[in-house]
Amino acid sequence: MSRSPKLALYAIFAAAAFIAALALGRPELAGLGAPFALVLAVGLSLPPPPRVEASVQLDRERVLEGDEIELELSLSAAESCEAHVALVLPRGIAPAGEPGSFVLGLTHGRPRTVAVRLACERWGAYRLGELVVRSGDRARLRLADQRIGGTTVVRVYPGRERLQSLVTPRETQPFAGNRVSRAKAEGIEFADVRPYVRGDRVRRLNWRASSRGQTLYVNQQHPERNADVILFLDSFAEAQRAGGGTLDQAVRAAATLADHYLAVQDRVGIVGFGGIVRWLTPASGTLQSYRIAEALLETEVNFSYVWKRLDVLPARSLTPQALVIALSPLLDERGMYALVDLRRRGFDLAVVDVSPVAFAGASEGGTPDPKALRLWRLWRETLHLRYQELGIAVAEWTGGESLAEVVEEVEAFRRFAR
Amino acid sequence: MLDPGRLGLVIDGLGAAALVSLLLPVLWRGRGAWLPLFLLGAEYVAVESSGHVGGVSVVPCAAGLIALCELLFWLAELPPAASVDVTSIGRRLLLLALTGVAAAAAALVALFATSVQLSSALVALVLGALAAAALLTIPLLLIRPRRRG
Repeated sequence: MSRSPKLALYAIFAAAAFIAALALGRPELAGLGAPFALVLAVGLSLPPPPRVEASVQLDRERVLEGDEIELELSLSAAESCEAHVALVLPRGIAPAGEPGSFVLGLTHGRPRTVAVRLACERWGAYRLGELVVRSGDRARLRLADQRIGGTTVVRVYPGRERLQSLVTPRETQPFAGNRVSRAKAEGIEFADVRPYVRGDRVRRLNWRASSRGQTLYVNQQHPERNADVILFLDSFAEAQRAGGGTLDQAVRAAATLADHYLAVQDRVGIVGFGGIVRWLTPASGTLQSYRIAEALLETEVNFSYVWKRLDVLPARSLTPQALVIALSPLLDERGMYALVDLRRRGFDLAVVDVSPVAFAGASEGGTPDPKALRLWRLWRETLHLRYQELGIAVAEWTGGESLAEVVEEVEAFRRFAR
Repeated sequence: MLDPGRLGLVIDGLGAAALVSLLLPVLWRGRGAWLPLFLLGAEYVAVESSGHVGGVSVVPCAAGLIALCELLFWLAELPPAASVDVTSIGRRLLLLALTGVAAAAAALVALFATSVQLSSALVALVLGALAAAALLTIPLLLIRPRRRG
């Protein structure tokens, strides 16, 4: 409990007025100080500030980035009082229009409910309901500050973009799916003809070819298979400013890509390669979509000096013949080296360079030296070329363009490289 | 002693300074509220000394001063961007009105008490002791921890 500055001022003024009344022999001055002394005497004899109880309820606990939620705040106090309530919101959640603080008149035995609309600006799991409450006695001479911890969790999933096309995996897996495999077996798409062997079904005979060649030929097709896609998130370092960072963009891109690959029955896995290594083994279906969304919420940059290599990952997290799409700002050598290592291990690799260049231009430390910035850009271009020499498709994503354009760029390089 | 002309200048100066200093707590969220309060008090003393107003004038002056202080401190307490409940505003206004009435009553009582001519020194001693005890209860109430329940 703290004392209001009013208390000290009233006490000093009353004392000064009384002393002046005595010293100057003017009774009016006692009349001037008496009301202040009266407020002090009455105010301090009143009960102290009551404890305010609060509970929080959300209308939804799972939302997408950009959605709004309604937080219902219920406050009650043992005695009537005026409560100043400030909602402590984490970064990424902001009040939607209305202010996040209130002055409420609480009455004993009658809880007050306030509805606050909140805008979910950034993905993540947030604990909501943390409040700072200041209550006072009736005269507000004594004040009590309380900090009430958050109890409700809201999960804000990254926003998704609509993609027209995806990076096509070079290899498929043995499971049925929507992709036309390069292998020849039973399927729909015609692949080739071959001479008939015992056991072939008669319906697969190619009569036109058989009549020309004086021997029987059968049709071969490309089977429909699925593919394994690993989304490789480099979380060693990020560039960021108030509105977001490269990791935010990478997570949004990962969520978009995961959803689209899962929609075509591919198996999708995630590897978070950074200070803390996280992975999710490839799987398909709606459940995997939820698993990925939850896993992405935990992605963050954890500072570490440890030199990590791909050996720390379990073999099942990087399945053979999988397409690896790396989302990296190419800021940390460990992440860059891991990409080269992946390629050398024979993985089909595509890199989306979530460019930190735009963030460097608006750094808090002031405008960067143009020469240094130019040198850095040149160095990044050289790095891209080195990756391309290794057969890795690299596309820079500055954040200004849509992810669909970047995916197209990667796909175009892969077509050309073939 | 100041002549009436110079005293008038002092009164005008104090009044102007009080008005300007009122901006201080208004703009600086309640800080420096003591300055206009003491300046207005000093101005009242000067006006009262010049004999322009009667003794009863202390009643509206005291009520006005305390109402002004209450408003300044309420302004200081309000969060910068907050939605204020209508109930809270109603309670505050009621409290302000009650404080004003109580202040006027207290000023009147104080004025009356100081004008009482006591016949006996013993009675004066008893009353003085009671007044001193009443004043001492304020710091006592501040220090004493309140037991609840």
